[in-house]
Amino acid sequence: MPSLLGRKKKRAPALMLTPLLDMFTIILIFLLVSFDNEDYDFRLQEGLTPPKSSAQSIFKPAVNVAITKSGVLVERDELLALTDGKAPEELYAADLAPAIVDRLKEIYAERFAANDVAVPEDGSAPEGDVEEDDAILIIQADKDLDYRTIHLVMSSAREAGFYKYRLVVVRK
Amino acid sequence: MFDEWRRTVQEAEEPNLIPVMNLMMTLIPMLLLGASFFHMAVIPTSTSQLTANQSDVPKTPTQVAMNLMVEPDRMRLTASSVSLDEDTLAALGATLPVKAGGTYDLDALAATLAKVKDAYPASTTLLVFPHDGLAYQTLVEILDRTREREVQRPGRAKPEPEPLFPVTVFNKLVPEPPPEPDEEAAPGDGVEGAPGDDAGGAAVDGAPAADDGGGEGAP
Repeated sequence: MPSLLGRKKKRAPALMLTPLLDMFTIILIFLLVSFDNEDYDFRLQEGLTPPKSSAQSIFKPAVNVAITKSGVLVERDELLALTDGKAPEELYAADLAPAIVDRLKEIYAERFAANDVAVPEDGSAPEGDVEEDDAILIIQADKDLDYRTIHLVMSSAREAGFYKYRLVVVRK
Repeated sequence: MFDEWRRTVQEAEEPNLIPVMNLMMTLIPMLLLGASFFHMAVIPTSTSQLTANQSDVPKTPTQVAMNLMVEPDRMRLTASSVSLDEDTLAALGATLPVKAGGTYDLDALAATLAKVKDAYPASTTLLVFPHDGLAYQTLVEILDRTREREVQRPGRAKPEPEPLFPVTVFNKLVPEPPPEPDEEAAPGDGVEGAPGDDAGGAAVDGAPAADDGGGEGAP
């Protein structure tokens, strides 16, 4: 029987939280640095790898067009099927994709037609305040596509009234 | 009494970290939801607008519009302006064959454009005519070199980016139909944004879209 005088008083076991706290602090700092507080909810289309670029311009809300190797999507609706990034030859020959033109014309009429300012027939400057044209397309296209397919989408968009584009890239 | 003092000291050395841990466990998931692990950006561009009364050729004598034809085996640069004569414009152009590895000579392209920019600093517009099979990644790499350049300023440790030709207008070359023997072919027919082989020719029947001032397109 051990003596009562010889027994040491044991402390309750405690978890060592200091290393865990160190780790959490590092993670917290890393996440704070990479926190993206842009309010524009941009979602990259699945199955698409944008090209890398040194561009620094940031996003603005606009009409989204995605060009993957399997199709062209306007606001996430697939309007044109592509075969390995290639459209039917007759579309290239016409340099227009009617399905894309029609959909973009609808979008233009819904969102931007009210901002149009009539230009006088004599070519003079229109009267009144001319608002900044917001009819902009954000084009996210796969890096392996060829220019012919991208230009097909651009020329279709131009036919619908969109002639300014933002090409989505991944910053180097 | 001594034991009591020692216990007090030990308790003071071990702060209660549980509330801090709770805070971390709340903050980390919240930040994880908003974290971006790769950063996206955009390149502002436009296509030519077909309008009757406008042209891309700058109206002021201090500006030139550069035309860049990207062909499979070379790049060709020509210049357009309403005020410069053909010899001056021809001197601004260049033909840049692909390098031995089959890649485009982007350094030479940037150097040529920088020379034009130095001579005519107000120039901003570049009309690009890529060939049909040009890969999108290659096109973006070309635009990276035409849009801005790195300039070493006195007193700065690192070179800073400066706009070169930030307004990019895309066009497409359409093969010109063969001239009919009885009729005289009109120049530019069948060409969307014909740059022409001569440096002084008007480039596009249309005006480049002005940028919205929000990005690199309009510094």
